[in-house]
Amino acid sequence: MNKEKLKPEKVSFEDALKKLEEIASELSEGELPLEESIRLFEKGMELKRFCRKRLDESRRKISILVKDSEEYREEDFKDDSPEKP
Amino acid sequence: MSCTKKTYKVSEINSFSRQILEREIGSVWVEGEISNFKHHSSGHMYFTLKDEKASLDAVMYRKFNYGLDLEPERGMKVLVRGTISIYVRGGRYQILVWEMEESGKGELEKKFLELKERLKKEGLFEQSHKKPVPSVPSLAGVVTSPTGAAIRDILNVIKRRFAGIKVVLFPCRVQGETAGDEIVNGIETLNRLYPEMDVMIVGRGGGSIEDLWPFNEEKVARAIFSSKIPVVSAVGHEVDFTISDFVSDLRAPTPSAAAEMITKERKTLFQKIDRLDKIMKSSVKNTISSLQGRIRAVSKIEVFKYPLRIVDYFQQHIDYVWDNLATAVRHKVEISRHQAEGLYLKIESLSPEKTMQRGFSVTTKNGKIITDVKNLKEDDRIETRFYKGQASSQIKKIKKGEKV
Repeated sequence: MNKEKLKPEKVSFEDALKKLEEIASELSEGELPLEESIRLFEKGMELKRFCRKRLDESRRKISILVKDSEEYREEDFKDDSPEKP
Repeated sequence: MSCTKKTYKVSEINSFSRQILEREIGSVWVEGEISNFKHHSSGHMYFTLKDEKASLDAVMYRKFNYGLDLEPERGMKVLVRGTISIYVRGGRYQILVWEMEESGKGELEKKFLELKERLKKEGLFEQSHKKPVPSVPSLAGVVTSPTGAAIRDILNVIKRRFAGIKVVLFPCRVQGETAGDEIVNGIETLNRLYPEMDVMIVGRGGGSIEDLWPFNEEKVARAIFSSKIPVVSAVGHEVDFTISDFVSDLRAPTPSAAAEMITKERKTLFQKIDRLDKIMKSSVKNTISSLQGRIRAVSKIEVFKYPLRIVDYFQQHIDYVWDNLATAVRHKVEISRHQAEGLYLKIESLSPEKTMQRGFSVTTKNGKIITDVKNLKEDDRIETRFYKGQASSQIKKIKKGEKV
């Protein structure tokens, strides 16, 4: 397992949760040497904090692509536009 | 001047006209587009049929529209069967409809089935091509109309359930001539601009089979198939199936359902994380306490009480093994020597020198050993080697014979 720090913009919530599940199941088998257990546990705690933080975030962005000459750019999407029948 | 004018009462002339119309025209099939549709609380349906030039009032009574297998709505092109008549009270000319079907439905259905069969044969619907769809994406795309019901439904669900997400909408038409190309462009553009996108929803709200048709077009199906980003198709209502549904990585019955599939509830996720947290903590606690147990158990063993005893024991064991080993090696060397001598004698007796010493000789012709007279003919020159020295000779006569 790599030791690099979790970078929120690099790791998806999905992957983090999956990894967390794997670690929990590995630990619960209780077959690992102590040092390995501790290392996994620390990794697990880090993943847990990451997942909780992602869920706590209230950032939500909804944008619409607008064609600007040849290329597209994002604009905030206001979804209170009038209803088309 | 007086003349007797034939005078009708209003109700009479309306009735009379009605009789003429019903008798002369009778039942007809009429094709047109529905406008001003109203499903009255009495159960009757009132609407207008129109084409580019004219309109015709229509009514479909409850007893006829009961069990109708389509939901008529404004803009729908239909084929109706009914009687041309007049509503006597209002004097309104109208058609009394008893049957209604979507026009062109048969033709479209045939095209749908043909394309479905062809793409299926080509393997585009195979399960093995389907990419997994993440349940908690951080970046999701939506290819649909910015003003339709689908985008509103999708955003409502996403806002309610999971906040940490970015949604990029590619606006496009979802019905009509150009819709297919626009949808294809949407899928391709999202793939090009956002290679990191986790998932995209492609779809629209409910409508007639014609409205949904772009999602039955081959180019749309191929664009969905080629998308690197997993595609969830969400077209119309639960009962509507389109080619896009078959070729997509996941089919959602409605746009809202599509949004639900890609966003788990926050509460459920929090609970899951807490559960995993508990499992990890108690597992590590167990591991540590079981190690402590082993340490305690081990420390009770004699060795740890009298550590030097084990050294004595090992010394004794090593002496024993050493003695045995020395004897064994000596024995082995003796046996090997005997075997080697035996082999030497055997090899010596097999050497050609020993054989020749016993009176045998070797005959060669042009350096090749001769073992068969077949290889010789009269007047051949041969060399014969004896134990000591050699001689050349010439063949005088060949006697064919068996082995010696």
